[in-house]
Amino acid sequence: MWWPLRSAAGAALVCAGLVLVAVWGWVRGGDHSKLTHFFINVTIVVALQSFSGNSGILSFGHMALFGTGAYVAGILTLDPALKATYLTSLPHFLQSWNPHWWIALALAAAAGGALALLSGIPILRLDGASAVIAILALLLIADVVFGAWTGVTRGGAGLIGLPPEATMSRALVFALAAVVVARVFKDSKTGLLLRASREDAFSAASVGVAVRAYRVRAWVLSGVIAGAAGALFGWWIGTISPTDFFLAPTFALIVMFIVGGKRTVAGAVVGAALVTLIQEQVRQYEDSSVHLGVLTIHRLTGLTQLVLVLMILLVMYARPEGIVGREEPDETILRFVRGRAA
Amino acid sequence: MPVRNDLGARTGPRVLLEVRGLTARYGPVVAVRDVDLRVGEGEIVALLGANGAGKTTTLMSIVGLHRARTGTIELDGHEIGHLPPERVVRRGVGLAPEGRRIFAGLTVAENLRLGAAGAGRARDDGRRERLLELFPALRERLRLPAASLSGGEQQQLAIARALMSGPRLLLLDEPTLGLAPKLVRLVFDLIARLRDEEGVTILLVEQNVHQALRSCDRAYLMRVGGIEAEGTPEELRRDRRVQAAYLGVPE
Amino acid sequence: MTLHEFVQQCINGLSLGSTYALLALGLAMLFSIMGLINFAHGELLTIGGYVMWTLLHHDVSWALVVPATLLATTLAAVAMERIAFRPLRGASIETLLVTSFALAFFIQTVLQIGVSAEPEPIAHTGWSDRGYSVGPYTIGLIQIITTAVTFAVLVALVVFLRRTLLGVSIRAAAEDFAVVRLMGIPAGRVVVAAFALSGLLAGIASLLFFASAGSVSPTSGTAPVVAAFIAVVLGGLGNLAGAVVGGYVLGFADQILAAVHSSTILQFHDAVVLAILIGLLLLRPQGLVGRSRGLA
Repeated sequence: MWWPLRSAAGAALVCAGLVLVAVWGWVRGGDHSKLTHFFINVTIVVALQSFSGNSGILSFGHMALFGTGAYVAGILTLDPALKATYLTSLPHFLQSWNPHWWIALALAAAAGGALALLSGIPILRLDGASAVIAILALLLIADVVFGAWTGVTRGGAGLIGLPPEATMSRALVFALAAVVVARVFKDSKTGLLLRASREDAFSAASVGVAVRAYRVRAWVLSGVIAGAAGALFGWWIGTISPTDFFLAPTFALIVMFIVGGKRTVAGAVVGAALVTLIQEQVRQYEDSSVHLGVLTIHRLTGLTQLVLVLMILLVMYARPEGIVGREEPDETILRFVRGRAA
Repeated sequence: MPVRNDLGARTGPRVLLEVRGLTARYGPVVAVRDVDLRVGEGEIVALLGANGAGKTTTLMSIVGLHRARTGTIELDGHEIGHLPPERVVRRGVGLAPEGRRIFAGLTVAENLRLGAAGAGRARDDGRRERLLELFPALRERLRLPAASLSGGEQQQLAIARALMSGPRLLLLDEPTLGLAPKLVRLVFDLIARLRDEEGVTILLVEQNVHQALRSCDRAYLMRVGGIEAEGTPEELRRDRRVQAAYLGVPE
Repeated sequence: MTLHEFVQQCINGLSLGSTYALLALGLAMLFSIMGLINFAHGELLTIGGYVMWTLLHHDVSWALVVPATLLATTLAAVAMERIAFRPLRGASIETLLVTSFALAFFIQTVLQIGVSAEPEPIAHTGWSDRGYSVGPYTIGLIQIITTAVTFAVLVALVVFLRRTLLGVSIRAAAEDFAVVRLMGIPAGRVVVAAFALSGLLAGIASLLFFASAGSVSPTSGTAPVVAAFIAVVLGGLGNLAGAVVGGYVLGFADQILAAVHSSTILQFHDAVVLAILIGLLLLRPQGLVGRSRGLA
């Protein structure tokens, strides 16, 4: 079989799982908001996986790409009346233009890819820990821009009233597409070579020019997926401000990535499922107070964060490879079947 | 079938180091397989073999720097296999590692000072003086960064540093690698003097088979992770496999 | 910009750079020895801030606040090593990185739940606002203290690293940890010493930082520590002298650009500084001082 088809077929197992979750949602009826959130989380963590999982460079900067997508799509699809009041520095043609959601999403993905290309060419010339820190610097730069460019982003006050374009089925489609693309990329020549180079990606040893080019490719692909995911996120949550794309969500994203298993696309999906579950279930207790004998804690702000911390530490100490491990589940099954046959 | 000699019966020295059934891995790869080794007190023993035969891994296992291994390692009758390297060193083992691995950014004096850190009770302030007499080149360069030394001087520093803790057993990993012939002779002279004058027992890893057989009391020949032959230099020179592989004598 | 403004900004940059240098030194030390990029280093700064807040709030004198803060950050750093990092010895650099990131969030969240997410005011001392005029320039007392203390600390650190066995061991460990153990020096002792030292340096930075910052919040440490990260990379990863140089370059760049920027760009000040530093790094990927080892 032609290899991209074989890879896509390998991703079918994960895709089937995602579709099952959506079917369960439709059958059960009611509000699909939590499942939509899950599919968006799947998309962004798969974006991270396609860069960090292959290159071995842990990115703390994906929220910059994700946020860019969210702001681009959000600004484009905001009600023109609101634009005129909020976004005073917006160019005129953007003030009046109100594109269809998929055009906005495509532009958001393109913006994510463009930012990745622009930042990746310089940053990915660095190796190992230097690259990690430079990517972190990108997150900081993005945070400053989101916060300070008030005429376009409305700064810390946040962009309010984004249209609810992120339905569950749309989020599902993009999650499925992301999973397939990431898997095909992982098995492609670029992906294979990147993974071969990752063993010493952290060492300061100089890396060949070719590897740098592969890293940039992975980073740009990752940026495109992250941009699309960001667009959906903005429409899903309705209001975006710089803190939605800074350190706390970066941490949640890293937890999804690591807990599931950073080397596999399936691991990314498992991580997204676990973290979404925690985010949605624990959040309701965040405003409650706790009485511990004499001590009373009034608000459990950050309880989600605490649970995520405990979860990732548990994985770090007990199973650093993550829940899924080194192999995609279809690879494990195939190996098992072949072992039986032999 | 390896040539085996009963060390105790012939030479009679007390056994200082005894390795039994040592197997060491790097992940799934077995680098050393079921190696038995003995070094008697006051002996110079050479561990010979080609690249990748497992010589360095054997030394690293003895000092506790290579942890993925099974088998027993006894120093003077006490098991040391479970100890971390710093404790092994404090029991009286010194290693001048492969590639010297001196601290290039530190001065020669600082390198020697660190070498004495593991002396524990055997601390001896006169030792540096005696070592500087053995290695006069180092005395002139005490205040200079170790990186500025020549290859031969760096090797001398590595050996001197390992001796600063006053070890009973000195492990030398390829001490002559990359040295000019004149310096090779100097290093072997030093090894002989260390044993004769300081009473240090020496286990020496070498690729330079001719030179090593000239200087040692006994030798082991390693091949692909196992001991292939063992004996005195005369015995090994007569061994057909050794002749074929290392001494250039056709089989 | 006039020469006068330039000199004034350099004076300001000197004290800002001092804080960065102190933080960067601690980070560089841990990185060089164990490959750890310690995200939780900023939380040491924050912990110092909260200790100051608590004590000053209860009118404890500065003569006690100073040693108490230093002790708290040093112990916190040692506790971090003992609880979080020691069980991971031998783990991959990525595992250490993620663990330190999680640890940073853990401390922030505990402070958020235990104290408050809101900033707490740190009582301004009378002296921290005092300033002197030297010719056309104004120099704040806190700037003088910051710079002088940092220089004194740097001298003391060099003496420690050159004269004591533990200091020499730390420098050697930065080159080759395994061989340090072959010298009979326990690995644990060197690592704990490096953590303690990084905690002490963070404590000094904490005192200088919060004496003028005016308030402390659970996320106070984030921005300075990220700046210190940049300083470490800029100076040459893991190079202690480089970390100091990187810290001061960052401090000067920050202050000089602040004076140049027009008010519209000023909002983007931090982004511009970071972008320029990344640009600098591209010209010299090995850092300004290079990756040469130790503090030679």
